[in-house]
Amino acid sequence: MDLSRRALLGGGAALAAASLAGCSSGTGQARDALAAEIPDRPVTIDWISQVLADNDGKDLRRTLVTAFQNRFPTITVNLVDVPPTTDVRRTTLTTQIASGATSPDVFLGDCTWPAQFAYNSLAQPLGEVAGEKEFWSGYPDPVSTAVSYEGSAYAFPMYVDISFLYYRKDLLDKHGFDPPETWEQVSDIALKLTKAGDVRYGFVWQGASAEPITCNFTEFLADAGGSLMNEAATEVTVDSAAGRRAMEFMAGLVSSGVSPAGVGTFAEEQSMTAFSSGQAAFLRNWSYAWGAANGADSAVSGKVGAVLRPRFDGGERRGLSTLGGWHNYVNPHTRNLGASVAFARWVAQEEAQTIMATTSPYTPPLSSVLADPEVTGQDNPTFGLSADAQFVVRPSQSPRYPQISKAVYTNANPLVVSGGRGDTDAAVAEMAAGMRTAHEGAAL
Amino acid sequence: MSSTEKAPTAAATVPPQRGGAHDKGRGGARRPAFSGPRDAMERRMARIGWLFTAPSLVVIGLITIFPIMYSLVLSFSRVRIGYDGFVVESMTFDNYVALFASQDFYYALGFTVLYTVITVAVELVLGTLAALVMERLTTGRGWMMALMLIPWSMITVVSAQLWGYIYNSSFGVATWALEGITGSTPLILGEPVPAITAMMVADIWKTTPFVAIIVLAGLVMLPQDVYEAAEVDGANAWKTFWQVTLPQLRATIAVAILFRILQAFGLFDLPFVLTGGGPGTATQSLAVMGYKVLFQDLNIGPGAAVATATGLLVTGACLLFLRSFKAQVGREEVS
Repeated sequence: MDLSRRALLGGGAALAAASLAGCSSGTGQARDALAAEIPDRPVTIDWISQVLADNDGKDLRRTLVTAFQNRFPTITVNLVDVPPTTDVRRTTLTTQIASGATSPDVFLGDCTWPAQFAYNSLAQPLGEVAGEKEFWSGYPDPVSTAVSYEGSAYAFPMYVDISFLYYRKDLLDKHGFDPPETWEQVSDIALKLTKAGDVRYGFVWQGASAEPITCNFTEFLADAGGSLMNEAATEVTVDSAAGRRAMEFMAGLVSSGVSPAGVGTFAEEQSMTAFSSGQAAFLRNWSYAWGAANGADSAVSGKVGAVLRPRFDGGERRGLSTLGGWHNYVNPHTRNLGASVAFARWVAQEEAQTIMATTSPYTPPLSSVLADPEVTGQDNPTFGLSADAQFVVRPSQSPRYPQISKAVYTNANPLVVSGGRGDTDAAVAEMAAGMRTAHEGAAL
Repeated sequence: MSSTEKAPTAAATVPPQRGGAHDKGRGGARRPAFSGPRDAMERRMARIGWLFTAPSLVVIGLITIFPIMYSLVLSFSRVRIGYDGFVVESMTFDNYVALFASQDFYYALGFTVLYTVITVAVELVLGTLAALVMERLTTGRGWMMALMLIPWSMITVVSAQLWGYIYNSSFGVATWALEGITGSTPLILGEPVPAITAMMVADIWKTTPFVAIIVLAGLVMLPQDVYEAAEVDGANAWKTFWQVTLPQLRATIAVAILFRILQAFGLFDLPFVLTGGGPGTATQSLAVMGYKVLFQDLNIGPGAAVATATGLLVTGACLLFLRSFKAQVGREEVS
């Protein structure tokens, strides 16, 4: 019996080594996506995407698919639903595509994925950004930067998320305040409103120890004139006066009572609930929050205002927002490359972007559509404000972005949860050290 | 490799030990030692035996041994995903260097060990108490057992979701109750110590019945004559429990502990659903860490190193435990 187990183990090891050796022999090459032709014969492609509700509560995806199929009659797009959370979605996609699966042909993915997916051959390169000037000049630079890795695009933009400061218009009017322009004003007004008993919390945002606090910290850092890394994501720049100021401000929001300690556990959903149940005066959240705050089940429906994010007192830039959003990637193993590229590209262009911008709450990245009076003139003020937003790109240019972000949130969150008890300077220094280790690929 | 090679030997000695302990009541008859096929007939039987087991051996080889070995090889590779599968760039020790330099790893290890020790200890005490009560029940024992087994039979993903509602910081009943007592709103899953405690409570609620059932099975199999003798000698209930019942339950309890250690070390579904390993990495077990490194960060080599290190640790812990268990039971039998 002993012998047989040993033989099995040995055989298994030999097989494992042999199959790995087999893997390493062929690295494979990506195909030329833009040269792929759209077939004359009918083909069906699978599109994986979360449900995207339009203004009437219907599925925006179906509207888009119908319009696309009218334009390209030989291509049928089959909708495939996805797991509910971003991380589980990524796991499903990576295991599926890494194993060589030909479906899904096109998948809607987060805007922080391109480098990681490109590095691991999980996304089809979609042409050089510089070589496709005519196409990419239609989008703000940060958008084309965010979808590319080493010069190639790996996704076509679908919609962007921009962060806004939402406020209780009724309460500000009641006390005679104008919408705040600086964070210092936000703090003052928030404290006055909580003191007056109008709201339970002053300002709610997202401090959960995960991607949400990375987004919030990145913004406060940019407000203070700093950045996590340089533009090419090759050098860590967070350990600066701006880094310490941003961290002190975030922790100070909690210690001064402007924000509840609970923000340390808040992701978008929890902060949204606090605001739309009428418990908070201010909310930092993405574009979608306008619809959620004014929905039928919101206690503050019709009492809400929105402005681009304020600046620090004496700060230069206003309206800074972490660039969020979802883009369409193409599976490198697709059997229908031409049709898949055609679909992903079509969704990023004028016809689809206009349908999306006029019938749903999703913000189009295509500048011409976002400037369209029909779009900006809608009830939803976030469309009109979006063109003035200044994007801050997270260092998702690095294939190690998840580990880099982890160094950010694991060091920023404890200071928020403890309400500023802790050494801010040390936390920023440790964050920088963690980010450097992650960037070098030496972090788990 | 030496610890993996020892595993079969130690594992192979378990069943006789267990049998030995139970045999005691029947006068301690020992099993005949298996000394291998002696004549042609036995050799033929052995060949047929191999033939019959061959299909399952092939399956085990393919779905257990091969992946384990594959992961072991990956853990020594600098590897990423290419268009045609894994691309091994070179063999390296860097994955283990990164692993042993990672604070997260030591934290996850410490967390997993602490979590295992505390939950298994509490479950053992509560489970044994419950089993003692159930053994005395004259009516309704079947019903009680069925009731007790509900938490255990519930899929962890489902029960973790239920506990998630209980602990929710806006509408959770536990939050509400604690708020009533302390006056301030607790963030049960938002801060490390409360989150870890909350997770332990959920685990203990779910797994105590398992320990209770195993201990109960051991209890009902205990020979009555020993108790009669203890009564004649004038031992009270307390003394009887500590000096008669518990020593005889040793083997049963050991089996329960072994199962629980194996399960607790592989702790994944509860933190995955309840806390996602958070806040931060506060409830990140070794298994959750391995999953995140492998499938979220796509850090294949280091992820395989986490898995391999975890596997070796569990094997080591079980071998140690089995050895001490063997020594314990062996001494019992002699005395």
